[in-house]
Amino acid sequence: MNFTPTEPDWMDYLYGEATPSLQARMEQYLAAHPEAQERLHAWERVRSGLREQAPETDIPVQPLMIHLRPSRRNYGWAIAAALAFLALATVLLSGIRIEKTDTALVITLGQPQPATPDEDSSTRNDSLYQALVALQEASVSASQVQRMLDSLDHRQAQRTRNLLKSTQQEQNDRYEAVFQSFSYYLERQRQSDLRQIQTSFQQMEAWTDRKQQETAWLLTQRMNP
Amino acid sequence: MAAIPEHTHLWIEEAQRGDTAALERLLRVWHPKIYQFALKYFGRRSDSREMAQEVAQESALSLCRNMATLRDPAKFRPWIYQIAVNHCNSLLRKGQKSEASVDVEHIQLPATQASGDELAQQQHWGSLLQKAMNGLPENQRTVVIMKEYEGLTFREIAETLQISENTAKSRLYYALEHLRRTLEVWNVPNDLRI
Repeated sequence: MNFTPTEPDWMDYLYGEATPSLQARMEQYLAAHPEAQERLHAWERVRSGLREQAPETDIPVQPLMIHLRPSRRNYGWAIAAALAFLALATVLLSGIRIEKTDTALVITLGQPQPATPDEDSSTRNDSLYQALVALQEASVSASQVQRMLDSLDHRQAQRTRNLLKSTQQEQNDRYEAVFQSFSYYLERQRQSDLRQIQTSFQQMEAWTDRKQQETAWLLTQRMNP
Repeated sequence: MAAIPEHTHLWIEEAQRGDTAALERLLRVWHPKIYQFALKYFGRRSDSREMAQEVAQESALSLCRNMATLRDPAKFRPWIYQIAVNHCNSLLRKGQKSEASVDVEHIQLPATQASGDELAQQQHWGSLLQKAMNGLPENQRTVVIMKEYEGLTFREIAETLQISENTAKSRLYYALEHLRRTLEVWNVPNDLRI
């Protein structure tokens, strides 16, 4: 017989993945070559040893730090509601007074002052007016909130605007990434804290040992002057 | 190919449709598995646990982020192991953390006890086998871990490492030969080779 097994043939046979025809040829070959049989047995012993002496296994000491969101929906409305609440709180807490006349919206900061035609024009803000009216009517939409944000910090408003423009999926992905990064950061921080605590404990133990030795030495000195 | 359990298949499909509960179930099963794999991958490094932990964490994040890119749920095992191997390699490269590999030829073997506890001797030779395992070239050791400890088929190993099936088999062949010869060099008696 001219058949000589290749390396893949050997492995297919050893791991029971040989086709029936290869299996038959291998068995014929092994029957005719005792040294090959010996080699096969040696591999089987190695395999058996590897399995029985598998490296120590244990479970992860840290929990999986991924907190999946409970739902993929409602983030857009949650933001809109939060912004609406923020705007309302600002209005209520900062003493802003809003009055609507037939021709203008009058916003007064601080103590009420008699309005003049000039002040009326200087405090007119159509977009804010629309957003605030929407708030009063409790029918806030993302675009109205977005318009209101025009009067806020430009960069922050831009970020929020981009977020509102993105799709639901993109928003979800962004939040997920932020949450994951933050949880990862927290976990690292926790590990760092644990290490510090461990070091402190070790120092304390070393200090206690030293003190115990000193005490023992002092006692010995007193008992055996 | 060794099929993944039916429930895992279901979880994958549900997770791909956006079911976070299914994704969580998948993670609860696979996070410890990847940790175990990475622990073996890093062998007896002094910091293997920390590194394995990091790989498990990063792999779980990758799984979450890239779940949608897995086209065939049946190929989940090679896919997730590929992610894990990439993270293992990347971690080694990032920190240049490769510790000196064990040179099996230069391990100081203690004198064989003339008489003694057979079990203790078996454990002793078993630990030598692990040392020999750590002395294998990285690409061979990875294949041994995947085959012997993780139970992957040759096709899955090939897909995971992006090599041909025959290359995977050849690497395993040379690894087993290396281990067999090492035990011979160390004069491990046949009956103690477990």
